Amino acid sequence: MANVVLKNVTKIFPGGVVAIKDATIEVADREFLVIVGPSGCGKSTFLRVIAGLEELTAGEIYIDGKLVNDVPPKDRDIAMVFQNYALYPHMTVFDNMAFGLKLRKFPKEEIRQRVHEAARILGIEQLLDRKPKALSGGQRQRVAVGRAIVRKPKVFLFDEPLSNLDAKMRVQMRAELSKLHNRLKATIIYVTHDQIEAMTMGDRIVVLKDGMIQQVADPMTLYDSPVNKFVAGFIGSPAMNFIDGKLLRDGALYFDEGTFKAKVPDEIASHLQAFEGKEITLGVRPEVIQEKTDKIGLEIVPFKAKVEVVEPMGNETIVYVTTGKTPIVARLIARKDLKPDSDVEFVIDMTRVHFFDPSNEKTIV
Amino acid sequence: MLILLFINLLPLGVMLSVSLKGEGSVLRSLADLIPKQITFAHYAEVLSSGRFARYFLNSTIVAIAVVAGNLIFAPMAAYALLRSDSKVTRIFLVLVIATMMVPKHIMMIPLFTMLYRMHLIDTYFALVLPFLVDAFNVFFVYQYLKTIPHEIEEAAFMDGASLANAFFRVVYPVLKPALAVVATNTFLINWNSFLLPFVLTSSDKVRTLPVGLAIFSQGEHSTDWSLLMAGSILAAVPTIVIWIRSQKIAQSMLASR
Repeated sequence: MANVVLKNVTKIFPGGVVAIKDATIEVADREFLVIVGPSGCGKSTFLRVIAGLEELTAGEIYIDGKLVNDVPPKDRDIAMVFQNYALYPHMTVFDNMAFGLKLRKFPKEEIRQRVHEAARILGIEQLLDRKPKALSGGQRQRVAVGRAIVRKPKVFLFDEPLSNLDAKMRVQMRAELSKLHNRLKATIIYVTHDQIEAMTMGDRIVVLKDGMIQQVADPMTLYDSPVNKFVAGFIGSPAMNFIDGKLLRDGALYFDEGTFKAKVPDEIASHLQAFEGKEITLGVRPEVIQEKTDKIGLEIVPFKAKVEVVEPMGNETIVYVTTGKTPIVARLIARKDLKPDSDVEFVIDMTRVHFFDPSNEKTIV
Repeated sequence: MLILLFINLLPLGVMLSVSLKGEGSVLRSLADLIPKQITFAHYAEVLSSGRFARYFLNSTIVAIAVVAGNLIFAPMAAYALLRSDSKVTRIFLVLVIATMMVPKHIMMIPLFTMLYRMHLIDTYFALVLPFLVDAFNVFFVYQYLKTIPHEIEEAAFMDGASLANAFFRVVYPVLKPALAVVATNTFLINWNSFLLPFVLTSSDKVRTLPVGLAIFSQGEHSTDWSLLMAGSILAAVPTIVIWIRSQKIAQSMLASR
């Protein structure tokens, strides 16, 4: 296995579309790195430049310490699993998996052994004689993974491999890929638009927006300490609530939304002095908002809202409400029998909120 | 549907009818379509003549060579035009399409002059070389290639394939349905071609069936229609067999995609 280093990598497509802008990152040996971002943010291009399928406009890529800018894909010793699996339709599953080994002139017996070993790990031994058209989506996905692992390459690249599967199969394959990573001890770079996949699978996550790396961190750091409003809004489902308001001093520091006021805890207030009297954005995760109980303190702030939509999930309830000015999503930790159009009182735990600078969308605290 | 079938099969019926009639009997009306007396004498005459066998062999050699050329070069040209997407290749594609709009008759004299200067008139090369890559075949395969996901080639590159390996071992086999159409069309067009082989040959040594039959059945003052029709029926057998077979092959290949 190997590490992958990108130094000031830029990719500009003909016509001036900037897909990656000055990206620098080091993927450690045996790390599971997930690249996540919305459609069109350049995450697939990221993989393709590492694979050598796209030429770089600027920058350097090192695999296992070797500069590979001018090395063709076939000589980079990388395996890639494509979104649509890209299985060879005229070959059987065995031949699909054996193709790379045959090209590298491996002995027949070793090819047979490696393919059967990979098929056993993935549970597709009984499918080896079938053609891809006779396989289900999940089976095709396994074959595509099998084709990658038989070669024992230095680095695995996964380009949204689960996005064509149904929800149940996706959850199952997610766990299987994580197990596979533990088993192979491989360096994996995995691209997805699904932040749940990113959070559950990655050792570290790269959040991309418009070709620029926004933040690189482990999943919990990303969730708890996003560097800007984009990362905060992208990681977490349902997404973080952003509530625009003003910071006012009335003895203590208060966040004033217009329809409700919330006291800012002292330890947070000390970071916000430059914003007194100014516009500011409050970021609140849905689980930080709960239905009002008797337990109201200085930092557990109540506000009134009208219920718009209720989504009972069984173990929790997602409620879409509005304060009259701001739409808010709350994740209530129990089953709640709330009716649309009813007025309900909620509380925000102000010790667990974030503040963002509206001018540059960076996190203040 | 039945009317269309009747219209399409009528010429074949006329050919068959005339070829089976005795000498001097001609077709005056539709009522004469069914011969009163059937004779295979014309078929025997055609088959016993060494010239027919020669024409048949020439047609087979030329058709196979041209089909093979198109099966190799048309996909290669189409692949190059599609994948090396640049201003130059786009101009080439337009030029390829443009050649489809030029009638063959206009190319006849320049083609003859060119081959004459190369001393290739009345050789197999004259009947094969100019037809090794047909513009329609290039365009047809180009369009088919567009429907094949680029990722399977990229997967081959990642597996360690060179461009040639990716093309011949991954892309080419996937083109089979299109290539079946190319092979059938090219064979049929070439097998039936009359004008250019007529102009480019001058001896029985390389004459193909349509040209040979036309000359073979010509008397000093008249045409032996029965002989010509018997030869034509025999010449049509391979095309009919190939057409029926290729239809089934193309259908099964398309269904298995």
